[in-house]
Amino acid sequence: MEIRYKTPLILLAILALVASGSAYWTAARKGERCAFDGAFVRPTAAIRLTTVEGMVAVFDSIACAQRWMQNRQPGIRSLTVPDAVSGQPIDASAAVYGKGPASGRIRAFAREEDLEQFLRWSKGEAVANPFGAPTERVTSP
Amino acid sequence: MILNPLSVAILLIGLLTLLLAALQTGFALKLHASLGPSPTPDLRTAVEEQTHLMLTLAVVLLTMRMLAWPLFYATLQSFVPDIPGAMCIYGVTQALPTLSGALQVLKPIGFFLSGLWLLLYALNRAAKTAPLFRRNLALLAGVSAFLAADALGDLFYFLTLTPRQEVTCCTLITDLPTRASAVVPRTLLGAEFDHPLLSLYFAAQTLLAGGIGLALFRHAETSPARRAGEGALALGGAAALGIAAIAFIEIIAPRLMGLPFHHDLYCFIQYVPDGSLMLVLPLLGLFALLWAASLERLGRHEETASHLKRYTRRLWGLALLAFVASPLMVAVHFLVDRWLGGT
Repeated sequence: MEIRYKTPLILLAILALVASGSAYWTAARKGERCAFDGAFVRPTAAIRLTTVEGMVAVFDSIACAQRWMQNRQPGIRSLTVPDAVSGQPIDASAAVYGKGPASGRIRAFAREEDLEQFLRWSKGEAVANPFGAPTERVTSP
Repeated sequence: MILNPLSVAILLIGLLTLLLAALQTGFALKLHASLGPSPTPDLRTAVEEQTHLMLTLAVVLLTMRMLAWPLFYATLQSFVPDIPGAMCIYGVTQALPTLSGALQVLKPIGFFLSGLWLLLYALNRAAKTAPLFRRNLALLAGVSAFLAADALGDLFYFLTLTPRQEVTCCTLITDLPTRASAVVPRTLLGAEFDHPLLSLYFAAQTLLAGGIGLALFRHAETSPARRAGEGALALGGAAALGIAAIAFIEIIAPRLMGLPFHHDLYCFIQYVPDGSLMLVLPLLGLFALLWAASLERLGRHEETASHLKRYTRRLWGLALLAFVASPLMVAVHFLVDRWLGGT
């Protein structure tokens, strides 16, 4: 019986191309990863922590940052969270926080009005600074 | 319940499957019983006329159900931001672990059974007098009952899954040094098993592909020899799949994700765009080998002999393609990573 090679070879070539494209894309995104779970971090969702030793850790959510800090108890020089409205980084101690009832994900806001609007819309609740007060956080070297 | 377009789609498909599959099971069983072991030609023609619409519907339903497998994982992925503590599909599955585990086992079995029935149906239609009609009905009743149970599981799972429960992250479970996927190669290949396991993975896939290629070129004419060959290939396929699974968890996924200490395949399909393809291809290859072996047993009849040979060869061709494509994709990833100066 005749064996047809053309279609399988074309399929293999397509799959090899897909793999090389995917490998290139993955390698290109290997820049910023969450220090806790390794997920890629969108610039507008990045939480940046600088320890007193000068080490920088990036996280993709407040939950990840909290868990990472619970495990390591680092001395913190600076900690920024993204404003849920603009995506701009703000100092974690200056932000106000709220969480929606569905996901339970804590969001940071630069302005009280934005938080109130979010709480009205989501029927969520305001929460205290999840990283604690600045005086509790900062540890001298 | 978590509502989004994907969960609505899977619920609709589940509801539709449950209703149609339950009806189909009853109808197929009734017709199978009415035919009896040796039906008269008139009775068979009458029954065949009654089943035309049902069989067409079954083709649509089973094809739809096969597509529900990737949809299931896409829906779980879409729930990640909604479940507290979940960072990948693993976390979502921990919200209702027993049910999600059962559904993850049922889905590939349903995919295999649906594919087998569709192949038997096509084989029966290709023959002149539809000699496999009764067998087809019996298999349809069994497959439909299975799919109805799977759809019921889907409905129950997606209706009861709520975002209230805090779940554990995959890193706490899959990266333990005592995980089974690390203990087995460590026992067999020693503490430094990375290179030997990777070599074993490529060797197993190449050997199996060679075996399938040989079977394609030297197709045995006698039935017992053919069946023995198909059995051996199916066993080889299962072994190659097992080795591939361990190699993916231990070496390939961590390297391609760029997370050398993380061994979770759910994260792998999330971070590497073609990760799911690389994982599914060997499974599809094994299914193709099992479909060929099952068809040889279920579809044997003097009228179907030539068609059966053609079907077997096509399924082997599919298996060969699948078992070659997956390691090829892995090799391409490694090469591109090396070229770009990565791991």
